[in-house]
This record gives sequence, structure tokens and C-alpha cells, in this order.
Amino acid sequence: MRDGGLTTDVGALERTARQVVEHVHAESGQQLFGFVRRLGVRDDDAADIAQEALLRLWRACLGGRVPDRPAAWAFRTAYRLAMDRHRVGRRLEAFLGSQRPPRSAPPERRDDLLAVWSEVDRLPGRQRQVLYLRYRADLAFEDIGVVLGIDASSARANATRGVAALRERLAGKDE
Amino acid sequence: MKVERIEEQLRSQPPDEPNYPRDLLLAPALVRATGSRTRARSAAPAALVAAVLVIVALVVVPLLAGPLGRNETSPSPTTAGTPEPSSPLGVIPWIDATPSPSPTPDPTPDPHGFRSCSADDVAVVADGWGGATGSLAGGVELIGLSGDPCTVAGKPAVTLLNARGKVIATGTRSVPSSGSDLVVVPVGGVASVTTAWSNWCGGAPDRPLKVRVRLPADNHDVEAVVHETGPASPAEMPRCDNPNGPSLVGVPLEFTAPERSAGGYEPEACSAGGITAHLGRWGAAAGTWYANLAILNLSGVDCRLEANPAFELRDRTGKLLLVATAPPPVPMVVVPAGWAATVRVGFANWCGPLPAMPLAADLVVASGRVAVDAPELPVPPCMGGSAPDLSYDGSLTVPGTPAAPEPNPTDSLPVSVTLSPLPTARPGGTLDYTVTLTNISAFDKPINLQASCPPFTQRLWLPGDGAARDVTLRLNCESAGVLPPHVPVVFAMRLSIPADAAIGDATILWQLGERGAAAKATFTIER
Repeated sequence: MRDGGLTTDVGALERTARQVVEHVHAESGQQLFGFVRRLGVRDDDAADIAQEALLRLWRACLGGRVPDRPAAWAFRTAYRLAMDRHRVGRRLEAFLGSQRPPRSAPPERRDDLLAVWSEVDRLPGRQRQVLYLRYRADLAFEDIGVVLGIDASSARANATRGVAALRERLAGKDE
Repeated sequence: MKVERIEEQLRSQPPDEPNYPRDLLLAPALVRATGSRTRARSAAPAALVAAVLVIVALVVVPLLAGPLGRNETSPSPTTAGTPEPSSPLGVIPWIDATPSPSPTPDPTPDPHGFRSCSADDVAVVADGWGGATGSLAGGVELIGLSGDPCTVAGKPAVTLLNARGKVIATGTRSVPSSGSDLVVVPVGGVASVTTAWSNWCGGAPDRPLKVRVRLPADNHDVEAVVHETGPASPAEMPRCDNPNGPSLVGVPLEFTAPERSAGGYEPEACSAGGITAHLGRWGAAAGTWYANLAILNLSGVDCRLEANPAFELRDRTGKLLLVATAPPPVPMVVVPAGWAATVRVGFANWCGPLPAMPLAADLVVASGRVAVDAPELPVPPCMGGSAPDLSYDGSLTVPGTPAAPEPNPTDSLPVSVTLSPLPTARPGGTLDYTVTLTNISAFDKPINLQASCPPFTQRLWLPGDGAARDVTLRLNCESAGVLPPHVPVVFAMRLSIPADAAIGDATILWQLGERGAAAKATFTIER
């Protein structure tokens, strides 16, 4: 009977884990991938990191530790994985002097979408990250703080400054 | 461009962002990016299946409980803030009280007060190799073994030797710091530099390779065998760029402390192949010899050690003389990648015949034994008729690792939250409402708010405003006193509505602590 109970518990854990991860994958998978890309990670590696973050979320859920905010948990893990990737990369690049592939030229401002995101790329790194997580990934400032290891108030301030900078740089367009 | 338009674009997929190309691979089903499922291409790792069997036991809910029998809900109008005089009967009055600031950490000692590290203070570990574009990159790690912290800065002199001690790659001289920060190396602390080996035009060198290191503020050389655990294959050598030139080994960057682990995964047990063990010089106190033992994690990922793994002492012939083990209970210590754990080992009272010297030591971990790198293992004097003693003096610790954040007990308070119906509000006005907290402790335990007053957050979403506005305050705990079990207690609440708030429906989330019990409601802002 005890075995049966354990099996039931394990089955329930698996179902819960799958539901949680599938939900994050469906709702935030694209944003997770895009966020890691905007941390300077190549597309292939960004996809790997997004997948790894989701797998780690699954493992955590299987262990009975379902995060309060699974999406924020996945973003935080992806952020740390991306930073780790950079750390390892720096070790080699330090001696080799190799540079990251040059960033592609900013796309022409064909429309507002291009214009806004081109300007986002020119913002300081922290503002770029916060804007992506706040608007594109729809995370609360508390969650952004957890992802980036900063205060929620700092995340909010970066978002405010970032939007203000965009507004200033895009002044005159469509106005 | 208007802010609303900018925010709308920010919520859209950036034009340079390709679609997420990966399916979600979870055994036994494969979930496509669209959400449909197919069969998995591969099974989950065995570790994942094993992880299923790990079920977290009980979550200890910290209760801020006071003495039983105290159940007054509004004992006193005395508060730390300004009480609201016109509150209805039975409602804890509103106070505008900000939470107490978090305590500040102790100041970090000035690293310039420590002396420079010498070869006697540290163990030297070399590892390799990772490669790209013709060169191989490795590393040199210093592990503090001295009782007093010391500092390093700059670059060490490094030379690469083959197994017979012949120089196969010449290096550069040591370089003092160019102004970068000193790296403090306490006992168990780690400082490291990257090494880079280039231009190899000969045959395969005799292995194991060794690195000869001289610290910037020292005049003694130390040699260390290269642990070839990196991603490059053992047969891989630096590219021959100049057949007439020497092979070179360099140190491109100055000493740094290891970076903080990214975490996010359950560390597995440290393997014998992924760690190195080092013993410092012995010192005597009250008849017992002591030395610091440091265990470096070279595996590249965080791992966990049983604290403390068995420390075996052997004579020259390999005969086991003594074993130091930790008394139960045996906790675990997680060693981040590139970090070291440390503990002191004591050795006393050797009264038998002198063992075959020199002595050697092994560390026993889950998957095997690791030879302990030790300068010399002495035999302590006989202090009495009892048996010799080899023991740990304390438990393994990882110096300098950031402590896990303390859980906020407020987030675990067994409390339910109910908001009163919200009235309409005006821009620039205030929203007055009440919050009812009910102690839902499964153990009928009262919650003493006066003993530890929890903060709460009012999060406001205004019409047309994508960002929430947070106000964090402290409950009127002085007046509330103790929350008895299952008795609702009503708190008066007040929230200022910004003067520039748009007209329409707004939402408020009231939450205890950072992630505690919460309730959400909507109200209307009108002229």
C-alpha cells in the first residue's frame, strides 16, 4: 500500500511538474530565448540556455519544489546560465583576444517596431534587460529584481529611465 | 512617439529576434513549441528519474507566536505612527508607518592590512585545457592554507614543464598589480589566473605536465601537476604558428577571486576526479598537531560534499594507520565550482612504534579516494596511554560564499486576507478601505504581531498605466497585538491616488510581506 501511495505521489509530482513547465514554455519560451539573446548570447546558445532553464525548472518541480513564480524562476536561471556562459567564454577570449562577432548593423527604421527596438539596443545594459523583462516578458518588478539580483525599486527606476530615454530619442516620430 | 506607443512596441517581438527554435524536451513526451506533444526522442537522464523519489519532507512554517491565552484584538490605541481617530469600532486604525530598514552587514576588513601571500601560505593547483583558434587555455589556482589571510595581486610567473621537469614552454616574469584590487585569500579562499599555452611545434610531451609558478611578491618557485580536466582532449596541442620560435605560456589577466555560482540546479556529490585536497603546514597546540585541510572543486559545476569525508592516514607502505571521520549528524556542504571548502584536522598522541615514514593521506569521497597534497605529515608526541587521535576540528565550510537569503517569515504566516468592497476614488484623493486578516494556523497558534511586525505592500495598477506602483508599509501591530486563531481582525487601510491618475477601473493588490498572503480587488477612479 505504501508503494502504491508513493507511486501516486510521484505521478502527481510528474503531472504538476509537466503542467508548470509546459505553461512556462508556452507562455514565456519565446521571451526566455529572446531575453538570453539580448544578453549577448548567440542564437544557438540562447536556445540551449532557454531549454536548460526549463529543464532545471522541471527538475525542481519533480523534487517537490515548485517555485512561487515559475516564469520568474526560469528567467533567473537563464540569466545566471547566460552569465556563466560569458564567464567561461571570457577565460578563453582573454588570451586569444578574439572578439565577439560584430553586431549586425541596426535595421533600418521601417516602422515603429524597428525604431523602438533599435533604440533599446542603444540603452545601457541594465535598462535593456529591465525593459525586456518588464514589457516583453511581462514580469513584475519584484520578479525582475529576483532575476537580475537587484531591488524591485531599482528595476522600476531602470524601466522609468529607459522609457524616458526612448521617448526622448524618439521624439518627433509620429508626433 | 508617445509613451503608450513605445510600450506597445516593447511588448511586441523585436524584429531582429528569431522565433524560439526549440521543442521542450521532457521525458517521456516531447512538447513542441506550439504546445502539441509527440513522443520523446530520448529518455530523461537517470538522475531525473531518481530525483522523482526525492520528496521534500516538511516545510517548517515559522510562526510568530506569542503566549497562549492573549486574545485581545485592540488592546491599546498607542501606536508608533499617527492613529486614525475616527476609525469604526473594532477596526485597527490606520498608521502611515514605513518598515524598519534591513540590518547592514559588517564592514569588510581593509585588504591592505593583510600581508602578501607567499608560497608557504597557499597550495597551488594547475588545470587545463580548453582550446580555441590554436591556443590552449588553462588556469592556476591558489588555495589559502595559512591561519591568517593574505593577499595576491598582479600576475605570477608561469613556466610549463613536462613530466621529467624539462621546460617545454617559457613564460613571462611575474607582474605586480597594475592597480587592480587585491584578492584576499583566507584559509580555504581561492585566487586564480588564466594561463594560455601557444605555438607548440614538437611531438607529444611527456605527461603529466607541470606548471612552475612564482607569486608576484615572493621569490620561491612552486610546481604543480596540471589536472587535465578541461574540454580539450589530451592529444590536443597548441597550433604551431612559428616553427622557429619557442612555445610560450602566458598569463593574460591578473589574479581574481572565483565568481559566484549561477546555481539553479541540484548539485551532485563531488567526485574524486573533480576535486583536489591539500593540507597546510602543521602547528602544535597543547600537544596536538593541527593543519588546515582544503578541498578544491575543479569539476566546473557545483558539487556537494559529505561533511566531513573520511580522512585516512597511511604509512609509506600504504598501511592504514588512522581514520578521521565526522561525528553524526553529518551535514552536507555545497562547494561552488572553482571554490574550496576547508576544515582543520588534529593529530595527537602517537605512543606506538614510529610508523614507516613518510606518511600519506587520502580523502574518501563518494566515488573513491583523493590523495591529499601535503608538505609533510609529522608524528605527534605521546601524551598518555590512550590511543592516538586523528580527528576533524569542526565541519567543512566554504569561506566567502554568499549565504543563502534568509526566508522571510512573513511570507509563511498562516493568515488569510480579505479586502472590503472598495469605494470609488478621485485623482489626488485617497482610497480608504479595510483588510481583514484571519489567523488560519492549523495548530491553533496565536500570531504575535507585536513581537515581529510584518510589512505589507499595496500594489496599484492605474487605468492605462502598464507599470504597477508599490507602497510598502508596516501593519499597525501595536494596536493589533496578538492575532488569535480563527478570529478575523480588521485593519483600516489608506492609499493615495496619484493626481495624474486616469479615469477608469484600477486594481489593487494587498500582500503581506514580499510573497505572503494576498488579495486583489478593483475600484473605479472618477472625477
